[in-house]
Amino acid sequence: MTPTLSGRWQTRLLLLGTVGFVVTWFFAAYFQAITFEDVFHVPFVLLVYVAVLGLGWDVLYNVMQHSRWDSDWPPIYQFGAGVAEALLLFALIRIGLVIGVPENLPFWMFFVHYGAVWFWTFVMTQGPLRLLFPQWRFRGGQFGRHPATRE
Amino acid sequence: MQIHLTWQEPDSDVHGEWTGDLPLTLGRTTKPAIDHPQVTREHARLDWVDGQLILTDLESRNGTFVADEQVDRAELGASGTFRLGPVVVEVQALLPEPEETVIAPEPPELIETIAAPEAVEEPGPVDTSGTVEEPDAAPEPVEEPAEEPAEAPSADAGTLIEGEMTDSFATVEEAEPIQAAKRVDEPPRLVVVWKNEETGAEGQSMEKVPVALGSRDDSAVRLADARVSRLHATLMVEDGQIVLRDEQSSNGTFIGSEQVSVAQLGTAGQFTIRPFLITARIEGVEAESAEVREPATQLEEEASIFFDDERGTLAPAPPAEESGFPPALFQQDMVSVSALQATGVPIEEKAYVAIGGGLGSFIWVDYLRVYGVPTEGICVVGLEAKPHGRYERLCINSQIPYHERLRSDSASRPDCLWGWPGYAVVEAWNGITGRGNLKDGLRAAWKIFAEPTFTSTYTPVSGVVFDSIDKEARRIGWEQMRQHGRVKAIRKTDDGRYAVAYTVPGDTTDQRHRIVIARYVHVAVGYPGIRLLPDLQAYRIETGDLERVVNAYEEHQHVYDTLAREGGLVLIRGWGIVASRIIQRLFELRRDKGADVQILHLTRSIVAEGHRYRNAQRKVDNNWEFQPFNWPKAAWGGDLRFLLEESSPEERGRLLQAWGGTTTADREDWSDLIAQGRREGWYHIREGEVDRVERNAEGTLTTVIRGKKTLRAETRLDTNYIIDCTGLQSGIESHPLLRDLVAHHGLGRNVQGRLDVADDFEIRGMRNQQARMYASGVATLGGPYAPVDSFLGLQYAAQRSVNALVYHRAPRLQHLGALTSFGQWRRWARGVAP
Ligand SMILES: Cc1cc2nc3c(=O)[nH]c(=O)nc-3n(C[C@H](O)[C@H](O)[C@H](O)COP(=O)(O)OP(=O)(O)OC[C@H]3O[C@@H](n4cnc5c(N)ncnc54)[C@H](O)[C@@H]3O)c2cc1C
Repeated sequence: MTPTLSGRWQTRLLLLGTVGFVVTWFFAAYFQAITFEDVFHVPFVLLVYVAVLGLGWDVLYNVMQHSRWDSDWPPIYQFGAGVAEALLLFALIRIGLVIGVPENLPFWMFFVHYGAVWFWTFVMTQGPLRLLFPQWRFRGGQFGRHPATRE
Repeated sequence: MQIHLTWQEPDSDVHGEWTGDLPLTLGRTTKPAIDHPQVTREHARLDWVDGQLILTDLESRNGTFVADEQVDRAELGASGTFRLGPVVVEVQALLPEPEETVIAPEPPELIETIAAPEAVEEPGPVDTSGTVEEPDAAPEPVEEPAEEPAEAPSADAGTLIEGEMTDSFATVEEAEPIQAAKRVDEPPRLVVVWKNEETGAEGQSMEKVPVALGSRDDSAVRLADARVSRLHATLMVEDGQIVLRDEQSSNGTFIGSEQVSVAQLGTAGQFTIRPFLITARIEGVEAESAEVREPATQLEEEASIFFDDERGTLAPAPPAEESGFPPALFQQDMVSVSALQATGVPIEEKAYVAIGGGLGSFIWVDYLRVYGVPTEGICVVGLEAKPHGRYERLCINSQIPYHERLRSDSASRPDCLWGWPGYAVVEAWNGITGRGNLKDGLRAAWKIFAEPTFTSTYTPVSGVVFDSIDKEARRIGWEQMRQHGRVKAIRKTDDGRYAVAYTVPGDTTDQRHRIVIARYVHVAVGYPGIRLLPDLQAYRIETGDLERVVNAYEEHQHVYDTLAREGGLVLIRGWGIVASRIIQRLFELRRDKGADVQILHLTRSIVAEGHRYRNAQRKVDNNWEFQPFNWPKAAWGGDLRFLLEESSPEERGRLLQAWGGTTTADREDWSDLIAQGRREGWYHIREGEVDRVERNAEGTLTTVIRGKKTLRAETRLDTNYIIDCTGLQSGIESHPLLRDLVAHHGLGRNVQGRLDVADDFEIRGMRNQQARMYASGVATLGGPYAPVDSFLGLQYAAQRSVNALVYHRAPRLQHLGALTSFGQWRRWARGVAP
């Protein structure tokens, strides 16, 4: 991928809001069912954190991307970025900075939910998004049509 | 062992000398220090082994050279000349008996004879005063060929160094090792003012002679334009006069309209390196009022070989013009449709016409079909039965057979506007499900995940790409839309459309000349022809020999057939992707046929460093410059695409220069092959400027080159074949249809002299009421989008222009919303017509 900063933001928000939302719903219901506790909201809070913190991460990625000759963001970097974001978020949970998420959230719960959201959004960026938005790949990850040329 | 060293930096007067003991490491941070930016910190080592000086390169960045050949290790005898990057070094072992005759170094050469006497053998003047005098004559640049070594030995830098060497000899016997001394004298300076005639950009600088002008980043006067050669020309001062010398540039240096190779400019003068008008004067001389000259209009040289699609071959001349067609009406600015009808020429009317019928046309028509236009609304006029006809032939000739991989991204699918699933995904899937090769499949999957950091970039197999295009052509009804024909001219009509006049090759009836009238026209006619390097073209014209000097893009199978039987030495010119293919092919002859094939690879100047842009730099290895595709990836759809689109024409020129250039893809197997070739001694890199190519007494070829740095004499390289891998003709002047279009309608040009298109690829100046005309492919290079000549770039161009037509409410076109897009993709996946 060769996203621009606004393309990153738009893609992140759109994918977390759709694919991420569906995946999160599934895990929310699942965690609720197996723990018998009121944890339904927890994965949703995490999703919001991933989205909001991500807007900042994207700025960093964009800077890194510009120091690459191709000014691109290969899949393996997407993977590395996913890991980095996960580590930070989990650390924030442990020190109690994520409001609405218990500090002792089991790692596996965080891992399966976060991992699934990352995986499905990653898959979408690798192709299926283009099936709906053929312009997306030429617009640095931004949605919408090419502007009309007024000449 | 004590030695004496002298060195000389290129294009300047900085030099130094040193006497001391071996072993010795030479470099920027060593003692003595050779402080030149292109010398590595620890560049090379000198040892004394078995009575010989041994020079070893310490994996330096810019290489170590003996007799202009890059070496890892070389035996120099008791003395020798070599080069660290651009810095010329002479070394002399101080043997116990100084009266012993100096042994001239034997350059480790395969096949060359040196025409002029070697400088080292000549006795130089001995100065007993013990100090080294600076020469009176203005120093010449080291590139300067020694044309008259016998008459003017004192003006020869090689002899000068030698003179100093003899000179220091006299003093060194008693003296302690002296410290490296750097001395700079005061050569005359030139004030150089340049102006880009096309963009108006200007610059000025004051430079010490010799002044190098060119597009290289490190040129004294950097002229950023693709038409300027890397080292294009040099300015010197001789006897108080400025001397301009063209350095065998591709596009020439001109005074007025006259092309010059060497010219005296007096104390001030003006010349042209298109598109720049340049004034030079000796510092202190008053600038003359520069008379304004007409900017150059003839921007590109003619192609030397033309495509003759009628016979599927290449012809040395453009197709002959037939008189009487297009009709005389076409001389007018605007053609009246009723007058056209009166001529009796068969006329057809369509909404959309695609001219060319190659990949660019195919991709545009594919978009139209997917966006809702039925086959009846579209006409494609072209010369090839298949969209990939010409492309395929160029691939095969340039040694990319059906099973070889292209230089293209997985998601660049000319047959699928969504680009998903990419070729790699399909390859991986086929491998895993047992339909293809499992290993290839897994490798493809790994590559698209880890490229380009942990593995080289994935690229598809050419045969697979052709098959996919054929399949899509059937799906969209290409055959029904296709009309065989060569388009002669396009004109605006008085009812707000375009008339396209074409001739059907092979048709001898009165139906062979035809006209199709359309409101929306797309032009993608590809490369006009093949270009041979001027010296090779001159050789072919002089000797009529088309066997031994070939262009990589023309059919040249006989070269490989003969080499497989007899072996031989091949000279390669050019450093792009095609050169890499040809070398691979020659290597396969060695490996599979056991043929003794040797390769000599000529370069005008060693690539010191990769292109830089922002904080990034391209990798250079063994003089090859690498980049996965021919532009940085983000030029297709990332920030670089937006940047170029938003830039002014002159900025575009600069950006294209920074991102482009000759590169090849970095494949592991390929770099190994070059390293192996150098180790085993069948691949040699040679630096030099070609003076001419001749047929020698044995009936083979002699390329006469001028040594660039170490050897100032002529060097003759005898080879069995020369393969020119420098490229295709991409200027629009060489294409009769485009030339006519531009001339007749007075169209503008972009910064690289090609068709001027808007951001949506509409040709500026061709709008005719409601009618719109678009272009794509190499004819639009230099405009808002860099990778126009690539699968994905052609898709982008099609998307922009079809998108614009949707805004324009062109008939039957529907915006592809998310759901329709998905629906159309499903039709594509199932192979159902759109
Ligand atoms: C050897 C080679 C390898 C390449 N590999 C890749 C790759 O791996 N990936 C990639 O993305 N790009 C690649 N390209 C670049 C690019 O994709 C191709 O050049 C592509 O074919 C360009 O399409 P086009 O339509 O501009 O030209 P073409 O496909 O050449 O089509 C032009 C057509 O116009 C016809 N024509 C010309 N004049 C007239 C006329 N007056 N009337 C009617 N018809 C006319 C010609 O017969 C020709 O069929 C490669 C190019 C070359 C040369």
